[in-house]
Amino acid sequence: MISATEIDIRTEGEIAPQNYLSDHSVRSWLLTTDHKRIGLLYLCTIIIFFFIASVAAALMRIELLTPQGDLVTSETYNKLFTIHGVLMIWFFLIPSIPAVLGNFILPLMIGARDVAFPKLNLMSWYIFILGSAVALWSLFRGGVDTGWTFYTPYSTTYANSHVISMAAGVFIVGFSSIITGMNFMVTIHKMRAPGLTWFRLPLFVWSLYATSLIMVLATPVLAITLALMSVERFWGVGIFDPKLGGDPILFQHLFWFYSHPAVYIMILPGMGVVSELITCFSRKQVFGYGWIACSSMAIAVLGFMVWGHHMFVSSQSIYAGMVFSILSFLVAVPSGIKVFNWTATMHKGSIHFATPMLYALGFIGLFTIGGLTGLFLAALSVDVHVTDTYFVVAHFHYIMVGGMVTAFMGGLHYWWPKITGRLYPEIWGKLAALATFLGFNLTFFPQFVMGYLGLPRRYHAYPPEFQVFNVLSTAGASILGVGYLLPFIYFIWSIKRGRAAGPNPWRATGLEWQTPSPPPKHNFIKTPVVTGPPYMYSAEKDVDLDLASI
Amino acid sequence: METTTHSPTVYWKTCAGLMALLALTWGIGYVNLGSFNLVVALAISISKALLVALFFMHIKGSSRLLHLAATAGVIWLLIMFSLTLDDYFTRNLLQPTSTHKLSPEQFHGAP
Amino acid sequence: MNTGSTAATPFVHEQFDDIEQQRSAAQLGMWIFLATEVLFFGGLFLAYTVYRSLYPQTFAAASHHTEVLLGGINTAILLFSSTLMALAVRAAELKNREQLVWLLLATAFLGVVFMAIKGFEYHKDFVEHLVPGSHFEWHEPNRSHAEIFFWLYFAMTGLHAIHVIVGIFVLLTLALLAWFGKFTTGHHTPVEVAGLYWHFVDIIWIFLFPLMYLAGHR
Repeated sequence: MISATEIDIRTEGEIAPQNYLSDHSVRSWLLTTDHKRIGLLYLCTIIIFFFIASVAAALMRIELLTPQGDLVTSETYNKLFTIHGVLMIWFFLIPSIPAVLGNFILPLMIGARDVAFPKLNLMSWYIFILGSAVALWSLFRGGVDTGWTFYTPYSTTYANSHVISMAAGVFIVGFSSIITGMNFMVTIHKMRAPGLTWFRLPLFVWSLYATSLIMVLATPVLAITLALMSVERFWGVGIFDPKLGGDPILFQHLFWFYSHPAVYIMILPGMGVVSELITCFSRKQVFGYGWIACSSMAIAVLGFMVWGHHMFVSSQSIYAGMVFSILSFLVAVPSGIKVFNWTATMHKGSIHFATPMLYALGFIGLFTIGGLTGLFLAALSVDVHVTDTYFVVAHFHYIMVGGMVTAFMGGLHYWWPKITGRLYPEIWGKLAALATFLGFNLTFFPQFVMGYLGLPRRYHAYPPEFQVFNVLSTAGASILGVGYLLPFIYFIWSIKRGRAAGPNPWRATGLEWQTPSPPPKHNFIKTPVVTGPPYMYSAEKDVDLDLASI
Repeated sequence: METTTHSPTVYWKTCAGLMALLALTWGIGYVNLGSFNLVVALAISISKALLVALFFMHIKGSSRLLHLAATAGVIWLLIMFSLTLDDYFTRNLLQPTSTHKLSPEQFHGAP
Repeated sequence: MNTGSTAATPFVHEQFDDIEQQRSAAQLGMWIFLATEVLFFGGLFLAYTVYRSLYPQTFAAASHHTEVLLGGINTAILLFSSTLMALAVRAAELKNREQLVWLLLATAFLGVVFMAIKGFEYHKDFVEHLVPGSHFEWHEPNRSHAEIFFWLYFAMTGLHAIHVIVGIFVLLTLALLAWFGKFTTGHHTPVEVAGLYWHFVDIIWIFLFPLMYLAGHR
């Protein structure tokens, strides 16, 4: 039980008069070292990229309404899916939960005044802005057509697009991600409140720790790989060119040594958020705390040993393929543990279908489909059949969009009252959650079918028998778009007009709820002391509580 | 005064050890040991790196957490090396047993 | 761990409780950064390993074109500079301002000597047409494989050189601050942490020397 003794919690429905948002000057934002403000700076930045990348996706979906390539040329289509991939992955998903919610919530969750290195934290945002500027510059000069993977020898020799500037942008934002990871790890190790032992940490903190481990150990390999690729393209000398005795497969090894673990950067934090949501809205202690915490770490470590499953049809050795296949199956174990434990947490809980919970439930369903189809792809023989088809596209969108983005939206709704001190309109929230879930499935489930029937990805024209699936998919994408647009509108509305939330609208445990909303500059009026495990919810205590109608 | 650093003697002894190992690796570079040249050179380099890490970087006597942080990079390097090299070292083990090629009809399973 | 009170000393940043928490956080941060660096260089070491295993003879032949004498002297210089750096950290801990300043300057100076020798080597390589590209000349078999060796040689020693240059600037800055007594009146964490970085750069070179200059016996 977390003791709230002597902590000044204001009465319900009040905005804390002096808080971290009180200073309105531009200078105070641009020079801030407050982790909460840096989190919001990241939020504003990544939303811009989410929109640009969504526009690229929308154009592709419109193109695919008809079997002929009539809206854009195949070259433009190549650029569209590359922009969509590069921006969504490095400029939206990777920083999404860690740099926004992680930055905002992590120090609050562990009862710290700030992260360990606040100046480095601000620097990481500026590095991110610099990388973004370079990437946008590349985009406005004409973009890239290599796909987000920058595979050699196409990227080094044959592509006629702005490969180097885009790679430079990705290279630069990599360092912002390394700094964030390092900062989080040190913060979690060194800044915990008295009594907050490792196995009393909220599960979101565990997942951020696992994510940080990947950021710190994988990102440098991407940096050096993209640097090698760019230099090779620029000078025409290097190590990936098969004409000169080089091996393009080495590029793939190095690239996926980062990019497969990066997939877990794009799901682990989401799992952490969902653990918070499920317990709070089931009013129950989490089932198997230690298992969920350790499975985050297991996924982070195992995630480094499976990258070869992206290379089953490259000329990688068949023996290496077998090893990678077996190891890939192993990732299913910790992932399964999480899904079962969330389900068991809900069992006999007092479930409140509030907006964040709807997102969390959506996450579990979509992640399960994404995870199970991942097993298809880990199997060597099946993978050969569906490699580079829409099956793969559907699979990773179920993980990254169905999983991570859904969790991000859930987390944003859950902590929005803490961030702004105000509540969003619940009915609109529910509607958005529902639209997201339905729209998402309608968009991507048909793609599983198309892929299994053999439709390859990355073409702007396709045989007419696939039109019905593509039309369904585009229709779903429109609903999905509405699902993402709605929160954007009502969140902005709520900043001024929303009902004041008070310090703890969800009656949640956890230190972040033990301080006023929005929190004061240094988070806590008095450093909290932790005396028990997290998630001490009990349904008996709040029988007449109806979080869904808040 | 209690210090976390070592006495100068320790540093100078470490320095002497490093220089001796440098001389050794340099000398062995001129002896033909076949493929063992690489093994010996790497063994010496690892010893030198350990000397630097243990004494200059004070791994000896620091917390278990720092030991973990110091070894993490090396462990992950080993993961990267072993799983990449298992591709390169086994790539040519499996050769096609037949040069027979499928005709397009057979390939597409046409009736 | 947080103890709930804000220490009043001027060296403690507001997010920390006391100097010990701040020091151990900085140390851990630097060690994590070094783990990142291990993987950063690791990609290049992996590429080297792959191509050396594919083209062992050419790599040995190409390695014979490097300047082993200069490389060896440079190794000794870096090892010696690391020793001075370790002594500098000790001087900082013992609050011996003058010794600290001189040791930092000497360490940085050895870094400059290292770079001078390295620059001379690069110049020699350039004159001998060993820089990959259209300029590259190779009169033994397997030209392109030798070019891969030299490409890796320049990439790896070049990346290392960038780290040495950064280190020199850090050391000079610290020497200046040390002169004004920054590290001998309160805390000396920056010196300690910069020392870790300098030693790490040394360790990278410890591996580069035999791999680049002594590949295959000479």
